Amino acid sequence: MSASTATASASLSDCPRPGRLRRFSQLRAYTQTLSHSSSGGHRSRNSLSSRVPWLSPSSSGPESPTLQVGNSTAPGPESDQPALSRYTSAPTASSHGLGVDTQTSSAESSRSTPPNEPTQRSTNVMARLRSASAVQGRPPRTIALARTATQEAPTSLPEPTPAATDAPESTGTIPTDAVQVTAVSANKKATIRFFPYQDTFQSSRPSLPFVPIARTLPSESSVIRVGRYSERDGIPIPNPTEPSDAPVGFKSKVVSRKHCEFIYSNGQWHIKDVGSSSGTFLNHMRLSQPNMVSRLYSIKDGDIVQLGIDFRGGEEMIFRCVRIRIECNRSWQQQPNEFNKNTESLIKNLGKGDGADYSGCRECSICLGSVLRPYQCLFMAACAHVWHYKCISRLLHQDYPMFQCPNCRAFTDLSAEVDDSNDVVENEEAKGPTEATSTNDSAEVPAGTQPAQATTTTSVEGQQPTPLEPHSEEPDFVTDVENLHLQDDNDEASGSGIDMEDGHSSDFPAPNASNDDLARSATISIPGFQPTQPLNVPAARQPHLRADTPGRSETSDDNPLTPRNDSGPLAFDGRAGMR
Amino acid sequence: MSATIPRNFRLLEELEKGEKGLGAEACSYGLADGEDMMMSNWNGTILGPPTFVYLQPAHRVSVHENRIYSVNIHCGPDYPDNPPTIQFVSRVNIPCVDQQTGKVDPSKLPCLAQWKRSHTMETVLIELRRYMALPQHKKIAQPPEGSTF
Amino acid sequence: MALPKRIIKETERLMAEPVPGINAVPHEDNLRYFDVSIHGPAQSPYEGGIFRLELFLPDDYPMTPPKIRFLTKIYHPNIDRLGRICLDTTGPPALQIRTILLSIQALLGAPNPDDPLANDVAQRWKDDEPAAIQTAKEWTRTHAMT
Repeated sequence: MSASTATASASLSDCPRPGRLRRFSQLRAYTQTLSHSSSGGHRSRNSLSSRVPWLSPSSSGPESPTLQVGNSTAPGPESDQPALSRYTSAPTASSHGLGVDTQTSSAESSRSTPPNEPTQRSTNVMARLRSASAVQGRPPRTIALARTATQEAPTSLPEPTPAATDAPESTGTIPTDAVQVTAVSANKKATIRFFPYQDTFQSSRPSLPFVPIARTLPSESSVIRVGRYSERDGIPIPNPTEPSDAPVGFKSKVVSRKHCEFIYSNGQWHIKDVGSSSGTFLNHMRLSQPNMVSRLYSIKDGDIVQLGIDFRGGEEMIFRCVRIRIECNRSWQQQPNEFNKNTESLIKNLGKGDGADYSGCRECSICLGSVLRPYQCLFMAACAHVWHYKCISRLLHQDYPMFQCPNCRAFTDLSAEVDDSNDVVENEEAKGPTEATSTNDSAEVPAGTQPAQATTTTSVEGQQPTPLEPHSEEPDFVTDVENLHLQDDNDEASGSGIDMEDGHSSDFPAPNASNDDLARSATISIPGFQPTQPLNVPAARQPHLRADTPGRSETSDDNPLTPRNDSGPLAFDGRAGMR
Repeated sequence: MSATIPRNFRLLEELEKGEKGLGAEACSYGLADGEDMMMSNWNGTILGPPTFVYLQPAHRVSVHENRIYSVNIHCGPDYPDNPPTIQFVSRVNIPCVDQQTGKVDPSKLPCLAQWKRSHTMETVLIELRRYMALPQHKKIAQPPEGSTF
Repeated sequence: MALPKRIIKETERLMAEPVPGINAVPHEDNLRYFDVSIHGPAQSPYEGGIFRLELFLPDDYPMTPPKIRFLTKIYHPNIDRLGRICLDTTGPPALQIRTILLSIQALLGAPNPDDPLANDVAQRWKDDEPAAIQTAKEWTRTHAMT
């Protein structure tokens, strides 16, 4: 590991390309502004992989980590794409982080993997991140990460020294990397976000609206308590910028004062009903009888948690149940990754007129036309997905200020303060060089690939180590970067190779469901697997549907399990308890 | 120009609307056979139109008040391009209903005679109810309540 | 009637790169209305069956998800007696016909009786899974192998 960081720094100090670094820091700043609200390209597929059996580690047994790698880089990088593996490994670091996430989030299902595997991989990730940070770490990053970081600059700095060799920023870089590394690990483990969820399919009544809530645990032993909001508690803080385990309050009478708790242990988020009277439901399953404490239930990204049951038809806001969509284990998306960097370079192309290279151009997932042509109004979400403004505008206004990416389902608060925190730093170090100074697009990407090479050499997954050629590979970079764009598209097509266009437009796991996969999934049952989940999303939350929802749908036998109760918060229809 | 919704999805929409009770209060309808994939046969009910108390006493009477009429509705394969066929189960004495069979004569009910694709089963039920309430119909002597064709 | 470019593109791609085991063809007189057939996944109770579905792209598509229904009777905990699929297809607009059909095919391979929208079939599936699977196989033979 130290070898890798050493190489990283070596490559850096051997070849200090100020221009590139500056360019990269722009990129960094750019992706930072995009990414602080958690989102990204590969995420949904991978987070889904934790719940969808044909993607889940257990479905393929011990070799599943390799599959993960295959997904996040390219199929068979060692044989087909040696160059690619070089360039993708920095982003791969984040994807690997995800791989770990996936494993942890599907803890039960991944038990079949060799026990040493996760650790190995996570150290690997650490190595990658660290070496990446050796080159990439910039104050902008610090700021962005510090916002979500759970710890102050820690004492146990895992080898931040290589970065210190980067003289111009050495003062800022050490803490930067330190925070970054711990932030990445801590972040990855203990950040959770709650979004209001409207159950469109069952067309039930709207649940209690609330502002999205984020929590990053200050320590692993912290517990997030959820209960009824009380005036005495003061105004609840929805999104503290610092790590916090502040209680989460909802202003609904069907929520008990002490309702449930979110607990983080062994790399996995859990929920527990702490004796609520009207119940906590995880994906419609009631966790405990009234006033009984439940056991811990593990939760994963995309799960739906409901607190209480509508009382008196939920006509009054104060009697509405709370439905929460969980977002956790997504911090990898807040790092620069292959996807958002790719987007960034594509966008830079826009300024280049007709001569620009659009070979890696993505399509707008709404109209399936290509985005990133000049003279079009575009909208880019924090996850770096891009659409024509015309195509996406309805979704922008539908639930404003909440926006859910239709591709990867990441939520964004469109009313969030603009993050200009890295502008200051940016101006100092990136003054001057803009489009004019870069001769081609490769300029910023090689900066990112330097750590890539370094980490590749220590890669455990059998990626072909690539000799370092810091000075002589400029021309290769250009072509490789282009390949990378194309490959990225392939890559996004989930590696199954059967479904090129769906992959990048939807990030949906289904394309992976080749017959083989299906066959496999048919024989394997994953606890908690829910085939509805991939589609079960409030993204296209439809106000008209909501408006249509009457209070009389109890008669419909389609939704017998929807917790619902009009007689009182303490009375139950008994159906929930039967489960 | 809007999309043309195919028959089955149109019927599913109507079914869901009917199940949820989103339609007019005085009418209801549902599938006769919940397993009929073609969704051809439906049951409908019409709550007889009430007396209008603000009218002159002589006109107040509605012979239909508080009666519940049930009808069979058949949606053929060409629904909703063509109207459904309606047949009263409950006896009712109004000109558009054949007194032998209970079938509604489509030429005598405007919404059937001038059928539009946008019309629904509910449209027909509501119009039948309105038809009963017409001044010239609401005093026609009716068969005993509860009798059937 | 002008068909949105997206629908044209999706249709072209469905034709050009068909998904194994899935077939979707638009009606000539209504290009938003597709005849779909899905092969029952191997090793599922639906293996060997060919299931017919219908799919309609509403006016608002892709902002409004496609409407889909099984036309072939099928015994499955997430599909009701009228062929309606208890799969929340209110997915994001980025989902395409192809992806949705794939997820339906996947649903055949992985019936989920714990689905919140479950019906009496789901209850049976939970109470007596072997029997339920047997029924599913029988239904497949009766309705989907003609």
